[in-house]
Amino acid sequence: MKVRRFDPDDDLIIVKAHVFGRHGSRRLTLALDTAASHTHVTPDIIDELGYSPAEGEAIAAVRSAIGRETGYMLRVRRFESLGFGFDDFLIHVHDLPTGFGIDGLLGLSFLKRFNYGIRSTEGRILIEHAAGSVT
Amino acid sequence: MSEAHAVQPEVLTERLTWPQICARYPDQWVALVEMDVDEDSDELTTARVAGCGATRAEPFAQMRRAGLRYDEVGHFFTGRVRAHAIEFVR
Repeated sequence: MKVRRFDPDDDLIIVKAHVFGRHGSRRLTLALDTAASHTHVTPDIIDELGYSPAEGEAIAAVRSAIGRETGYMLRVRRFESLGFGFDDFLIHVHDLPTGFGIDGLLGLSFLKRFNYGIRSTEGRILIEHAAGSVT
Repeated sequence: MSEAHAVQPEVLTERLTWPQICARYPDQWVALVEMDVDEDSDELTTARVAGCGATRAEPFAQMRRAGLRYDEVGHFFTGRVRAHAIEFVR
């Protein structure tokens, strides 16, 4: 069981992530979002890592209460968060509206591989993996 | 820790803690290098600031202009993260 802390006074549950590409790696912050089916990262970060939209596996769109945003699906060399990591991890690359202090969303494509608990008033996430699901 | 290429030290700060970075660059995006990170908590201990700005892209643009290249870079917002309210109209 691993434990990660977040600030319970924030409006969102903010966690750290580490994304790898051919130009190195970037450490960033994501909002943990159990309503997001995919893990999202903004193009600024992905471009910096040396990826291009031409490497995308599919064009994708995100629909939300505030509109529709087009992006693409991309397999990154490695993705880590909450103390766990996966090679060749598929993420959704699309922009976020300005004013959010995050680089994306940590969604169910990552979270569903674990059992986890969010203790909101304590600002703690307890997370453990299912056998064989992580590296 | 990564090696810098074509380093221009005058554009890099000294090593700072996260509270010091937040105080010096309030409500900004920062690019951090030479980071010490506690791997058990993912918390940043100290780092040097290599770029800052009001937009996500600006810290990276500053690094490029300064000729700074690091394998590992942190990209963080120093202010409090706020969710945007969605107004529903009946």
